[in-house]
Amino acid sequence: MAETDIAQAKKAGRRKGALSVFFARAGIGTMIAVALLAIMVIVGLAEPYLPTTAAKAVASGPRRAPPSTEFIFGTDNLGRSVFARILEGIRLTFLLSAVAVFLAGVVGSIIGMAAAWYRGVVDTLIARLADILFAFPSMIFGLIVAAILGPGTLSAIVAIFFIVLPTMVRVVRGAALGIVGRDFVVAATISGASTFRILFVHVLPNVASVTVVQMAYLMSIGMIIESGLSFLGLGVQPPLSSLGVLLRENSAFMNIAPWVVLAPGAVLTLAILCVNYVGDAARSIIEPSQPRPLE
Amino acid sequence: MALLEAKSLSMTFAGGPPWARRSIDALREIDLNVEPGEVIGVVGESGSGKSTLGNVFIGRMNPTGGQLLYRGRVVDAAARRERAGKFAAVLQHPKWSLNPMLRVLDSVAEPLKILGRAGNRENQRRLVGHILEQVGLPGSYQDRFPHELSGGQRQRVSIARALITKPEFVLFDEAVSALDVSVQAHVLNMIRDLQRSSGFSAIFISHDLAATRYVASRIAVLYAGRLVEDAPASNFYDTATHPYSRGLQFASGLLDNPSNELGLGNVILDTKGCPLAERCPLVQERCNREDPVLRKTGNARAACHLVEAQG
Amino acid sequence: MSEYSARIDDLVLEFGNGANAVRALDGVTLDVAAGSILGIVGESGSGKSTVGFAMGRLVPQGVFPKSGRLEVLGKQVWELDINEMRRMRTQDVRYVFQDPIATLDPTKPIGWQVANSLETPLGEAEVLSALADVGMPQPARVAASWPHELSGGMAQRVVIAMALVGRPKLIIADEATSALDASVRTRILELMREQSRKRGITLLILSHDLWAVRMFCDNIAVMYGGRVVEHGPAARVFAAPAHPYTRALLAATAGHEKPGEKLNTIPGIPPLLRGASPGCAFAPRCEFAREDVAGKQCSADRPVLDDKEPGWNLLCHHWRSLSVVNGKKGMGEDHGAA
Repeated sequence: MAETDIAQAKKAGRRKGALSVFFARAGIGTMIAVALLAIMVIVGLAEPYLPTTAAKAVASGPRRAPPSTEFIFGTDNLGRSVFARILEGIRLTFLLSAVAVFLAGVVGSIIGMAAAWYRGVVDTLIARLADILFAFPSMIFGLIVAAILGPGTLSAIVAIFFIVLPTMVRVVRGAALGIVGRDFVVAATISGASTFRILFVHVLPNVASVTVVQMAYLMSIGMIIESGLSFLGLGVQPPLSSLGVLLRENSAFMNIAPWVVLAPGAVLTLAILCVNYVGDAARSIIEPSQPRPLE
Repeated sequence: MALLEAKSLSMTFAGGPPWARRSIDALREIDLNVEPGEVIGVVGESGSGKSTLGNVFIGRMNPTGGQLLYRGRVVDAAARRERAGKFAAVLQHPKWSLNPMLRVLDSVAEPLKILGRAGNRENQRRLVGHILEQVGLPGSYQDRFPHELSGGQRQRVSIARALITKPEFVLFDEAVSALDVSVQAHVLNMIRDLQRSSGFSAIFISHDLAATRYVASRIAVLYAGRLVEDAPASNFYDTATHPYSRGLQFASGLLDNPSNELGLGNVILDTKGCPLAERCPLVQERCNREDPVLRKTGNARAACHLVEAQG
Repeated sequence: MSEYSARIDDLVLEFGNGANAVRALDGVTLDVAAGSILGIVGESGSGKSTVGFAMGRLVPQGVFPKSGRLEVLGKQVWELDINEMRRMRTQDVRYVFQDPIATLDPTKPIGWQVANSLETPLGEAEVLSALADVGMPQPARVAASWPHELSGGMAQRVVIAMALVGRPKLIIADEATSALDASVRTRILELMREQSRKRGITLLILSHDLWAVRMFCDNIAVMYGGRVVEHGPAARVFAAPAHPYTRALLAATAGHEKPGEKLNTIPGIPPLLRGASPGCAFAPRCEFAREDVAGKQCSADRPVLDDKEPGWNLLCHHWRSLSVVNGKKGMGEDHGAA
């Protein structure tokens, strides 16, 4: 029964048209960021089915060929198309941070709501644990995870998950604290509603927008961490290529074939910029608008 | 048997930082019964303990002293389960009384769903449509969201949600305080009519004596966590017994004689005397020495030395 | 100085633009006599707060009256430049709002805040006498305390003290006592009346509390749908309200009924105006609304101000034909046959 309510609540959120509000208020910069992001996501998703996959093979062309009409970002040291590998890099970098941030969003929401609902010892405990996690420099944390789980895709996901989790918990807890004291929650408690019902019917739909915006924002952090770990050789392992892997493999040839580093670097910068920009815009739209100042 | 019976009910909160704990008596030894079908108005200034009293009666707080009996039994976990759906509340803020993400239908049907008595969607629509009509809203409002309703309409929906399980006891905590005068009159009339037709008991907490007098059958006046007067509401259309009650009547424009006006000054809690002594217009020497007890006088109970002297 | 502290003539004010425009004031006409206490009552959305804000031009940047004039202390409010406006706000026109704790700066002691409420700081003696003026028993102790240590009533006294030090000519109290307990509310209103009389300050009390207005105001202005529908001497308007809305409002207020009597209610809800109201804004809810009264349609013809007697005017096409009974409904005998 609670599920039908959740479905209702979701429908409600859609009905109010959060998306249409977003586009109505977004400026030109945000629109460009949204468009670029959409292209990257679509390319990332479609990458295995694109005709470029063949060019990822070793010796698809000459080694370290400069950009041309055939290889628009040139080729790398082993004669692979840099463009084709960047497409795969986009796919992996996005996918990895998306999975990790999504998991952190789900887990963080539950923990954050629980902290806000139970208060007291539970809240203090969760807050302190989050503080401890937060205090770790993210790269050192990544090193520890890689040391335990071994370098690879899994440890990259785990590292990103734990690095963005405390932020998620804090944001959800703050938003949920503003909801649990409201009259409708009190009225539901008096009617005998279970904790599960209160958290998932009454609290979650009302913190969902904040949660989603925060997840978009954390995506950019996830991508930076992923690239950093892969650059150190602790994340995605060759022959798979994330954007970080491309930077590491090709950094040695920067002097003789600058395109092999500049192209993935530029794409990574652009991707992070776009995600950040969209997250920021979404946040400023969702937060109560500032009234126009008096003279 | 009384539906709810407070026996020497006390509530003490710990306040201040851990190294300098102070205890604050929000309620002190309150004896108050709620009979079936009775609406008790609770009035008092801020800090009088009226909201705490409501919270204890509805079961959100456990008293730190004394007992609250429900149909003669101490309220424990089993009693709480037994009375699910028999208790309901209508609270103050129209803006937040309803979950903004749920349609009216889902908000109003929720107490039924909790009890597992909601049935299928058609059944819910039928029940909710019926109760909405009782609170004066068209059945088509089921599909609206709270942001599409005015403050008065939202309070009506809150009342519908409270009444859909046919509760025995409803807590109205400042339920009309945030509404405009004309809307307030509608809602007060509706609460009175619904109470008469379905016969629930209620506690109506308000800082507004005029509104309370209108819906309640009895009025309990709280001051500094004590019950200082408990009298039929009709007494408040005349001159009430306790000097504090009269002070409230004057301040609400229900009495014209300025000799009833309460003085400024503090609540005196650390002396043996009456806590009202510093503000009471009729204060006597005895009031500073001795704390009056609640005593029956005519059809009322009042805690005042002057009342006792009158017999 | 003219005999009026404020003169408002057919003022129309809209917020927002395009389809979202809300007409907050739909032609307000109101004269506020200097030194008097005027209570403005009305329900939410009636425009009473907007009138108060407009007097100090406290509106978002770029909002100008659609039409009409607003003159405060002899000056056209929208013709002042920003420095003149600021001077007016710091000295001549002061506001007292609902939540005194929020009005005070939580990081500064009370004495500092009172001393710095004007452009030139006050000396300690002046601060203490300002606090004593508003009935603080121990001004020195209050001056040394922090906002969170004060009760709501005490804090509101401090806010009033800060308003008074600039020797203002007009004080606008916007629901200044709504958040206070009834007995404290009476004291604060008494204080404001006393200070207003003593110093000759014009006092504007914006409130939904009809009783407070009846007790403490010389005049009352009743607002509905962005217009002042009735304006007259408070005691006499309360005794025999002439406008149907004023009557209905009084009859709906708990406190005047006898035991067992039902409160009269007003059907419908107040309008949210998007543009000029075509007729009388109250017509859809008015039990006396007519389609033909002396050639006027309540729903289609805008009523114009009509003097009942000197100093008492109202906006109603046919108030003359309504019998004058205290707060009760009923048509006059002369109209019964019509």
